[in-house]
Amino acid sequence: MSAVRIGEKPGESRNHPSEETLERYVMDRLQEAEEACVEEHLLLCEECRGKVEETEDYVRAMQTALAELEQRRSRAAREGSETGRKRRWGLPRLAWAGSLAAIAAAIVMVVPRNGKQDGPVELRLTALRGQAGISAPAAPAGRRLVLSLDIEGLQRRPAYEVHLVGAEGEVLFDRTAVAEAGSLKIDLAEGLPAGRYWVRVFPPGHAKVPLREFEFLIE
Amino acid sequence: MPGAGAKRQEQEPDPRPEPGGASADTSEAAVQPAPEPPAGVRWALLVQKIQTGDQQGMEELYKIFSRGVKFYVWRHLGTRDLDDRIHDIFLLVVEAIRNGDLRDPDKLLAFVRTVVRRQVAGQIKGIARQRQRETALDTKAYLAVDPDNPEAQAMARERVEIMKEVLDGISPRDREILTRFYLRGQSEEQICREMDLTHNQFRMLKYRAKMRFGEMGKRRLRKRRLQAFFMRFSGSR
Repeated sequence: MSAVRIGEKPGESRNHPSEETLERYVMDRLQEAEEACVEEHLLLCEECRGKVEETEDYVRAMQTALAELEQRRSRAAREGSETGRKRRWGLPRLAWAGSLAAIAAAIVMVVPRNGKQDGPVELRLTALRGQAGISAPAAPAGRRLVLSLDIEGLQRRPAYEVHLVGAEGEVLFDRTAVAEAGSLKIDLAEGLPAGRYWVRVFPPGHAKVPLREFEFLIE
Repeated sequence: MPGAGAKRQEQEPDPRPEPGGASADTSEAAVQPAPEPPAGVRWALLVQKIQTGDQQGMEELYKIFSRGVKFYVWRHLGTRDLDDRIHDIFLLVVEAIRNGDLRDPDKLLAFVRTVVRRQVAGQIKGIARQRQRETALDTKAYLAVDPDNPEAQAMARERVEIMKEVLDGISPRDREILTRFYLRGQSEEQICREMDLTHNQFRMLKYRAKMRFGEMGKRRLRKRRLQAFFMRFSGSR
């Protein structure tokens, strides 16, 4: 059974359904009890009603766009087989060469450019006592990212639970990590899009109050 | 907001169980308790006022719930006769409270929700029968964009075009994953199993698509503002 998760914007209290829960609500994928919780909340919470509206617009756009792209692909496949039949009825050879060039060009145009460069970027996140005004460390978007989290001074544990949180408080990523030489390493092979992020470290099985929290930027 | 890279106060978790036994960790089985009433409102007192016919109680009920009820009704039934429908719902709620149908005043929120849902469900059935549709439809989908609001329709169309740009820019595999989730209604668990994805990879993919959608939308808006700006000087309107 999927849960009603309580999302949390960094620094705010936990009393709103998460974005993931609202998306499942909009798509009618919540269990009955969860749906009741969300709907009761929405009767009173204007902020979440606004988020439901946005989520609905987003999901609707996604569904329509995907459906139209599927139709386009089916049409292209049908036209491709019709063109093939026409060719069999005796197109000149030059037309074949032209067609192949067109297909090659289309493949080049359709395949998305891979913006990833070689080599991961390591971002060290450390606890800085009493140093307000220090700007968050930053890394480039789209690059493989290895986060190195300083956990010096924390009670030693065999493992920690690590959450990566986006700007809206949604948990993007959760993983158990083992400490090595006073730090935790988190490998994000696909990199991240531009934005502000937080990483929270919890004791294993107690993801309620973080032991430590770090902020970083992706630019 | 925490400071950049700054150390938050480290707290060891309280080993005692949560009051009421509900776990607030990331367990998939957690369901949260009902939300608290607005500040200064006590459900029991409000229900009592309504039961005694106190006009102030009824006004308070309307004030607290009208927006939420309107939102629910609008989402499911659209804008037609919206005010009348909300008015009818409130009359039903008040009548039911006076008849003693609400046994536990602290469950007022759940009670209002139930009344609203029943009313809306009944009216959706009526609409479907009226239109005699042959195929199964998601009512919300076809009522989604108000046909009497061309601006809303244009904006919806633009969102679709932006989304198509986003989807054209991702790999076929990522597009397949999104298609399975958003279009074919497959669950995250099924998709991850069949396409050999972790839960984290799945969430990250959705998140990236959402971020790109937001960025492209902003870019279009900036471009439009620039165009409007320069058109003022070119003399063309």
